[in-house]
Amino acid sequence: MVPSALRAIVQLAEAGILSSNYTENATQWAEVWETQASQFFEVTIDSTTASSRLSNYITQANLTESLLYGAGALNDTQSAGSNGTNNTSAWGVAEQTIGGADNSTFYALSIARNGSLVEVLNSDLAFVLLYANNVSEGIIQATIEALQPYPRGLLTDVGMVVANAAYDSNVTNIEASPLETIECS
Amino acid sequence: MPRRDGRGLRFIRPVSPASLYLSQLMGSIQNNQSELGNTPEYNYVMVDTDFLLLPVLADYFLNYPQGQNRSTEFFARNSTLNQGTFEELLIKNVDHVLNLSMPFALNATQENLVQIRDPLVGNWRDSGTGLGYGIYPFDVNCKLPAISS
Repeated sequence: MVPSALRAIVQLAEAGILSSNYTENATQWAEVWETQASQFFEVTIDSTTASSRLSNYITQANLTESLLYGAGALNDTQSAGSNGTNNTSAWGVAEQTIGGADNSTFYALSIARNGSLVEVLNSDLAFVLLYANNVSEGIIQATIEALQPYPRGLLTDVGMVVANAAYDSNVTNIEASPLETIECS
Repeated sequence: MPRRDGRGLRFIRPVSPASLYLSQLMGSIQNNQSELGNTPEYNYVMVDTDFLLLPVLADYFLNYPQGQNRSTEFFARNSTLNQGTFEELLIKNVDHVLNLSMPFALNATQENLVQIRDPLVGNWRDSGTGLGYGIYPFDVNCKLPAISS
């Protein structure tokens, strides 16, 4: 949002709606924000780690392992991927899943005061889609990965969740589901 | 802390007039201020709302046919909520955005990212747990680079 607000200042100044005195600083600052800020939020995860964190999360949260297979949380729906019904991958193809193929990068929900990343997959990519001027291939890739069925991504039978801690290296606060198991037909 | 100086943007939770009325009424009752009834109460605590006006305004004035040549008339209006014209209030928001973004722009370190103002109501996620107790939220600080590996 900061870079988008700075770019808006530039646009309004160039159109003569705001004073042109703003143009130089806002342009330079937007450039710094656009190129430097997101690196602090990057979480890189390899496929072995992603897989073991997902399994641990399923166990700790008392969810059923079948969520990881077929179309996962969306097992009643049409599979989107060509291999969506096999036993190794979720809804999409491996390249569209975090940790599915090679190293994956997603963006932390926030950064704690001590500098540690809150490694929670989240829906705030939506703000990038809403406010960014040029939506890049990387954003589309991250969006596709986030839109996989829970717990690989954010989609459930009853809609999208806004946060998913399944890939978080901090596993101290996983709460077991209040239901015995969440069954997917 | 809530501010009433007009630099940030106000945050109003409800979306329909009926829910707005109910929420104001319930808010007043819950705060033991039932005498306020449905009087609006404005809150500026969420930091994300500070950055939302400018992109929307730029889009409207520059990209929408109905926004073309409307800025002069719009800016001349007096606000009914804060003292001043819409232009004066917009300049306050512009200067506020520049003040918040300056530290990182001059020295791009993690500590200079924009922080939430209140640990309990940081951004739209509306709770400390909602941000995993982090203080630098992704949504406020980021617009992703061209390629994210």
